[in-house]
Amino acid sequence: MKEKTVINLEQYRAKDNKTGIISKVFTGRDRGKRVREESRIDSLAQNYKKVEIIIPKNIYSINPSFFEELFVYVVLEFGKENFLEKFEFTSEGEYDCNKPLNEAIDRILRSKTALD
Amino acid sequence: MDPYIFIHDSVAEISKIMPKEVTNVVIEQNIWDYFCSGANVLIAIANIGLILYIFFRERKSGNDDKEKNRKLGLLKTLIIDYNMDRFYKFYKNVIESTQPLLSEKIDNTLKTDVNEAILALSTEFRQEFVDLFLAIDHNLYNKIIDETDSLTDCITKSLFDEGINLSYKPKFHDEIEAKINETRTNTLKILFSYKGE
Repeated sequence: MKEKTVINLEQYRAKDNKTGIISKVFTGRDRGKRVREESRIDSLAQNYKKVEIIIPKNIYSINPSFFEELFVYVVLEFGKENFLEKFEFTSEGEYDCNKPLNEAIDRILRSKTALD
Repeated sequence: MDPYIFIHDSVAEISKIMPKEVTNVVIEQNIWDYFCSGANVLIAIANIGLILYIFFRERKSGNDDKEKNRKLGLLKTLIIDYNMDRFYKFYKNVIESTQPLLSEKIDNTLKTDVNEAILALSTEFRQEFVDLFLAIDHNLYNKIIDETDSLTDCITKSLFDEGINLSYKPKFHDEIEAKINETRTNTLKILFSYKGE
Protein backbone atom coordinates (compact mmCIF):
# COMPACT_ATOMS: atom_id res chain seq x y z
CA MET A 1 0.00 0.00 0.00
CA LYS A 2 1.38 3.39 -0.96
CA GLU A 3 2.01 6.09 1.61
CA LYS A 4 -0.09 9.16 0.87
CA THR A 5 -2.23 10.86 -1.74
CA VAL A 6 -3.81 14.28 -1.93
CA ILE A 7 -7.23 15.44 -3.09
CA ASN A 8 -7.44 19.19 -3.52
CA LEU A 9 -11.04 20.37 -3.52
CA GLU A 10 -9.95 23.46 -5.48
CA GLN A 11 -10.27 21.53 -8.74
CA TYR A 12 -13.83 20.53 -7.88
CA ARG A 13 -15.27 23.94 -7.11
CA ALA A 14 -18.49 24.75 -8.90
CA LYS A 15 -18.24 27.47 -11.49
CA ASP A 16 -21.06 29.55 -12.94
CA ASN A 17 -20.82 29.13 -16.70
CA LYS A 18 -22.37 32.53 -17.42
CA THR A 19 -20.58 34.75 -14.95
CA GLY A 20 -17.45 32.67 -14.41
CA ILE A 21 -17.82 33.15 -10.67
CA ILE A 22 -16.31 30.31 -8.69
CA SER A 23 -18.39 29.05 -5.82
CA LYS A 24 -17.30 29.66 -2.25
CA VAL A 25 -19.25 26.77 -0.85
CA PHE A 26 -19.61 23.03 -1.32
CA THR A 27 -23.20 21.91 -0.92
CA GLY A 28 -25.54 19.17 -2.04
CA ARG A 29 -25.45 15.44 -2.49
CA ASP A 30 -25.19 15.73 -6.26
CA ARG A 31 -21.98 17.70 -5.92
CA GLY A 32 -20.63 15.30 -3.32
CA LYS A 33 -21.34 12.34 -5.54
CA ARG A 34 -19.69 13.99 -8.51
CA VAL A 35 -16.54 14.77 -6.55
CA ARG A 36 -16.49 11.23 -5.15
CA GLU A 37 -16.62 9.79 -8.65
CA GLU A 38 -14.21 12.24 -10.28
CA SER A 39 -11.63 12.03 -7.52
CA ARG A 40 -11.97 8.22 -7.22
CA ILE A 41 -11.72 8.68 -3.50
CA ASP A 42 -13.05 5.20 -2.71
CA SER A 43 -10.30 3.57 -4.73
CA LEU A 44 -7.62 5.89 -3.33
CA ALA A 45 -8.70 5.02 0.20
CA GLN A 46 -8.11 1.34 -0.58
CA ASN A 47 -4.68 1.90 -2.09
CA TYR A 48 -3.16 4.56 0.17
CA LYS A 49 -2.43 4.64 3.88
CA LYS A 50 -3.25 8.34 4.11
CA VAL A 51 -5.49 10.59 2.08
CA GLU A 52 -5.13 14.33 2.53
CA ILE A 53 -8.10 16.52 1.65
CA ILE A 54 -7.10 20.11 0.96
CA ILE A 55 -9.74 22.74 1.54
CA PRO A 56 -8.93 25.76 -0.59
CA LYS A 57 -8.88 29.40 0.44
CA ASN A 58 -12.05 31.44 0.20
CA ILE A 59 -14.27 28.57 1.18
CA TYR A 60 -16.97 29.63 3.60
CA SER A 61 -19.01 26.50 3.99
CA ILE A 62 -18.91 22.80 3.25
CA ASN A 63 -22.33 21.45 4.15
CA PRO A 64 -23.02 18.03 5.64
CA SER A 65 -25.00 16.98 2.55
CA PHE A 66 -21.84 17.33 0.43
CA PHE A 67 -19.59 15.48 2.87
CA GLU A 68 -22.18 12.77 3.44
CA GLU A 69 -22.28 11.80 -0.22
CA LEU A 70 -18.52 12.28 -0.72
CA PHE A 71 -17.49 10.02 2.14
CA VAL A 72 -20.43 7.63 2.39
CA TYR A 73 -18.61 4.51 1.21
CA VAL A 74 -15.28 5.14 2.92
CA VAL A 75 -16.96 5.83 6.28
CA LEU A 76 -19.02 2.66 5.97
CA GLU A 77 -15.91 0.74 4.93
CA PHE A 78 -13.53 1.96 7.61
CA GLY A 79 -15.74 3.16 10.46
CA LYS A 80 -15.43 6.56 12.12
CA GLU A 81 -12.12 6.07 13.95
CA ASN A 82 -10.22 4.50 11.08
CA PHE A 83 -11.67 7.01 8.64
CA LEU A 84 -10.46 9.94 10.76
CA GLU A 85 -7.08 8.28 11.08
CA LYS A 86 -6.75 7.71 7.37
CA PHE A 87 -8.12 11.05 6.15
CA GLU A 88 -6.39 14.32 6.99
CA PHE A 89 -8.03 17.68 6.39
CA THR A 90 -5.88 20.68 5.63
CA SER A 91 -7.45 24.09 5.26
CA GLU A 92 -5.54 26.64 3.23
CA GLY A 93 -7.84 29.38 4.51
CA GLU A 94 -9.68 29.89 7.74
CA TYR A 95 -12.52 27.47 7.26
CA ASP A 96 -12.87 24.72 9.83
CA CYS A 97 -14.74 21.72 8.47
CA ASN A 98 -14.93 19.67 11.67
CA LYS A 99 -18.57 20.31 12.53
CA PRO A 100 -20.11 19.49 9.14
CA LEU A 101 -17.71 16.56 8.76
CA ASN A 102 -18.76 15.06 12.08
CA GLU A 103 -22.42 15.66 11.25
CA ALA A 104 -21.94 13.83 7.95
CA ILE A 105 -20.19 10.89 9.63
CA ASP A 106 -22.95 10.65 12.25
CA ARG A 107 -25.62 10.60 9.56
CA ILE A 108 -23.85 7.89 7.57
CA LEU A 109 -23.38 5.65 10.57
CA ARG A 110 -26.84 6.40 11.97
CA SER A 111 -28.47 5.30 8.71
CA LYS A 112 -26.38 2.16 8.70
CA THR A 113 -27.39 1.31 12.28
CA ALA A 114 -31.05 1.78 11.43
CA LEU A 115 -30.78 -0.61 8.49
CA ASP A 116 -28.97 -3.34 10.43
CA MET B 1 -95.70 -65.41 -32.63
CA ASP B 2 -93.79 -65.07 -29.48
CA PRO B 3 -93.33 -61.29 -29.01
CA TYR B 4 -89.80 -61.70 -27.68
CA ILE B 5 -88.69 -63.70 -30.67
CA PHE B 6 -90.34 -61.02 -32.83
CA ILE B 7 -88.40 -58.26 -31.13
CA HIS B 8 -85.12 -60.18 -31.31
CA ASP B 9 -85.55 -60.94 -34.97
CA SER B 10 -86.59 -57.37 -35.65
CA VAL B 11 -83.51 -55.96 -33.95
CA ALA B 12 -81.29 -58.38 -35.88
CA GLU B 13 -82.89 -57.34 -39.15
CA ILE B 14 -82.70 -53.68 -38.33
CA SER B 15 -79.01 -53.92 -37.55
CA LYS B 16 -78.42 -55.60 -40.90
CA ILE B 17 -80.04 -52.79 -42.78
CA MET B 18 -78.56 -49.94 -40.73
CA PRO B 19 -76.40 -47.83 -43.02
CA LYS B 20 -72.71 -47.48 -42.29
CA GLU B 21 -73.05 -43.69 -41.88
CA VAL B 22 -75.15 -44.32 -38.80
CA THR B 23 -72.33 -46.35 -37.32
CA ASN B 24 -69.88 -43.61 -38.25
CA VAL B 25 -72.09 -40.98 -36.62
CA VAL B 26 -72.06 -43.05 -33.48
CA ILE B 27 -68.21 -43.08 -33.50
CA GLU B 28 -67.98 -39.29 -34.05
CA GLN B 29 -70.35 -38.65 -31.18
CA ASN B 30 -68.03 -40.60 -28.87
CA ILE B 31 -65.02 -38.47 -29.88
CA TRP B 32 -67.01 -35.30 -29.24
CA ASP B 33 -67.96 -36.61 -25.82
CA TYR B 34 -64.32 -37.20 -24.98
CA PHE B 35 -63.43 -33.71 -26.10
CA CYS B 36 -66.20 -32.14 -24.00
CA SER B 37 -65.24 -34.18 -21.00
CA GLY B 38 -61.59 -33.15 -21.37
CA ALA B 39 -62.54 -29.51 -21.73
CA ASN B 40 -64.68 -29.71 -18.60
CA VAL B 41 -61.77 -31.15 -16.66
CA LEU B 42 -59.45 -28.41 -17.87
CA ILE B 43 -62.00 -25.71 -16.99
CA ALA B 44 -62.43 -27.23 -13.53
CA ILE B 45 -58.64 -27.26 -12.98
CA ALA B 46 -58.41 -23.67 -14.18
CA ASN B 47 -61.19 -22.66 -11.79
CA ILE B 48 -59.44 -24.31 -8.87
CA GLY B 49 -56.21 -22.57 -9.84
CA LEU B 50 -57.96 -19.22 -10.05
CA ILE B 51 -59.63 -19.68 -6.68
CA LEU B 52 -56.30 -20.57 -5.07
CA TYR B 53 -54.59 -17.58 -6.70
CA ILE B 54 -57.30 -15.19 -5.47
CA PHE B 55 -57.18 -16.72 -1.98
CA PHE B 56 -53.42 -16.32 -1.57
CA ARG B 57 -53.39 -12.87 -3.13
CA GLU B 58 -56.16 -11.65 -0.84
CA ARG B 59 -54.39 -13.12 2.16
CA LYS B 60 -51.12 -11.36 1.23
CA SER B 61 -53.00 -8.14 0.58
CA GLY B 62 -54.61 -8.40 3.98
CA ASN B 63 -51.24 -8.90 5.66
CA ASP B 64 -49.77 -5.95 3.75
CA ASP B 65 -52.65 -3.71 4.84
CA LYS B 66 -52.14 -4.75 8.44
CA GLU B 67 -48.45 -3.83 8.22
CA LYS B 68 -49.22 -0.44 6.65
CA ASN B 69 -51.75 0.35 9.34
CA ARG B 70 -49.31 -0.73 12.01
CA LYS B 71 -46.62 1.62 10.65
CA LEU B 72 -49.06 4.51 10.39
CA GLY B 73 -50.22 3.91 13.94
CA LEU B 74 -46.65 3.80 15.25
CA LEU B 75 -45.75 6.96 13.32
CA LYS B 76 -48.59 8.83 14.97
CA THR B 77 -48.29 7.57 18.52
CA LEU B 78 -44.50 7.30 18.81
CA ILE B 79 -43.40 10.31 16.81
CA ILE B 80 -46.00 12.79 15.57
CA ASP B 81 -48.03 13.18 18.76
CA TYR B 82 -44.98 13.98 20.88
CA ASN B 83 -42.64 15.78 18.51
CA MET B 84 -44.46 18.13 16.17
CA ASP B 85 -43.59 21.07 18.40
CA ARG B 86 -39.92 20.42 17.57
CA PHE B 87 -40.77 20.57 13.88
CA TYR B 88 -42.39 24.01 14.15
CA LYS B 89 -39.72 25.25 16.56
CA PHE B 90 -36.99 24.42 14.02
CA TYR B 91 -38.53 26.54 11.30
CA LYS B 92 -39.28 29.38 13.70
CA ASN B 93 -35.65 29.35 14.86
CA VAL B 94 -34.34 29.32 11.29
CA ILE B 95 -36.44 32.38 10.46
CA GLU B 96 -35.17 34.16 13.55
CA SER B 97 -31.55 33.27 12.75
CA THR B 98 -31.78 34.88 9.34
CA GLN B 99 -33.27 38.20 10.54
CA PRO B 100 -29.84 39.86 11.11
CA LEU B 101 -29.36 39.70 7.33
CA LEU B 102 -31.93 42.45 6.94
CA SER B 103 -29.53 44.93 8.54
CA GLU B 104 -27.69 47.16 6.11
CA LYS B 105 -24.22 46.01 6.90
CA ILE B 106 -23.76 42.44 5.82
CA ASP B 107 -20.20 41.23 5.81
CA ASN B 108 -18.67 37.77 5.56
CA THR B 109 -18.46 37.49 9.32
CA LEU B 110 -22.21 38.00 9.70
CA LYS B 111 -22.92 35.60 6.83
CA THR B 112 -20.67 32.98 8.41
CA ASP B 113 -22.37 33.41 11.79
CA VAL B 114 -25.85 33.03 10.25
CA ASN B 115 -24.75 30.03 8.20
CA GLU B 116 -23.23 28.27 11.20
CA ALA B 117 -26.33 28.97 13.29
CA ILE B 118 -28.56 27.44 10.64
CA LEU B 119 -26.35 24.37 10.25
CA ALA B 120 -26.34 23.92 14.02
CA LEU B 121 -30.15 24.16 14.10
CA SER B 122 -30.30 21.63 11.29
CA THR B 123 -28.09 19.20 13.22
CA GLU B 124 -30.25 19.58 16.31
CA PHE B 125 -33.41 19.10 14.23
CA ARG B 126 -31.97 15.96 12.68
CA GLN B 127 -31.04 14.50 16.06
CA GLU B 128 -34.31 15.37 17.82
CA PHE B 129 -36.87 14.90 15.07
CA VAL B 130 -35.71 13.47 11.77
CA ASP B 131 -33.73 10.53 13.17
CA LEU B 132 -36.89 9.26 14.87
CA PHE B 133 -38.25 8.29 11.46
CA LEU B 134 -35.43 5.79 11.02
CA ALA B 135 -37.34 3.60 13.47
CA ILE B 136 -40.42 3.57 11.24
CA ASP B 137 -39.37 3.86 7.62
CA HIS B 138 -35.96 4.54 6.10
CA ASN B 139 -37.41 6.05 2.93
CA LEU B 140 -39.48 8.48 4.97
CA TYR B 141 -36.34 9.52 6.85
CA ASN B 142 -34.49 10.07 3.54
CA LYS B 143 -37.25 12.27 2.15
CA ILE B 144 -37.34 14.47 5.24
CA ILE B 145 -33.56 14.81 5.53
CA ASP B 146 -33.31 15.61 1.81
CA GLU B 147 -35.90 18.34 2.21
CA THR B 148 -34.09 19.82 5.23
CA ASP B 149 -30.75 19.71 3.41
CA SER B 150 -32.34 21.41 0.45
CA LEU B 151 -33.25 24.30 2.74
CA THR B 152 -29.86 24.65 4.42
CA ASP B 153 -27.96 24.27 1.14
CA CYS B 154 -30.14 26.88 -0.51
CA ILE B 155 -29.60 29.36 2.32
CA THR B 156 -25.85 28.69 2.31
CA LYS B 157 -25.59 29.31 -1.45
CA SER B 158 -27.65 32.49 -1.22
CA LEU B 159 -25.58 33.78 1.68
CA PHE B 160 -22.28 33.48 -0.16
CA ASP B 161 -23.47 34.44 -3.62
CA GLU B 162 -22.01 37.90 -4.17
CA GLY B 163 -24.70 38.66 -6.72
CA ILE B 164 -27.47 38.47 -4.11
CA ASN B 165 -28.13 41.37 -1.74
CA LEU B 166 -30.04 39.85 1.14
CA SER B 167 -30.41 43.13 3.01
CA TYR B 168 -32.87 44.14 0.27
CA LYS B 169 -36.13 42.89 1.72
CA PRO B 170 -37.79 41.55 -1.46
CA LYS B 171 -34.65 39.61 -2.26
CA PHE B 172 -34.48 38.33 1.30
CA HIS B 173 -38.08 37.18 0.97
CA ASP B 174 -37.43 35.39 -2.34
CA GLU B 175 -34.17 33.72 -1.35
CA ILE B 176 -34.72 32.98 2.32
CA GLU B 177 -38.28 33.33 3.67
CA ALA B 178 -39.99 31.73 0.69
CA LYS B 179 -37.61 28.78 0.79
CA ILE B 180 -38.18 28.27 4.53
CA ASN B 181 -41.96 28.30 4.06
CA GLU B 182 -41.76 26.01 1.05
CA THR B 183 -39.62 23.46 2.87
CA ARG B 184 -41.92 23.46 5.88
CA THR B 185 -44.94 22.83 3.65
CA ASN B 186 -43.15 20.15 1.64
CA THR B 187 -42.13 18.30 4.78
CA LEU B 188 -45.70 18.39 6.05
CA LYS B 189 -46.83 17.02 2.69
CA ILE B 190 -44.34 14.18 3.02
CA LEU B 191 -45.71 13.32 6.46
CA PHE B 192 -49.31 13.65 5.34
CA SER B 193 -48.87 11.49 2.27
CA TYR B 194 -47.11 8.68 4.11
CA LYS B 195 -49.22 5.55 3.81
CA GLY B 196 -47.11 3.05 5.63
CA GLU B 197 -45.61 1.57 2.49
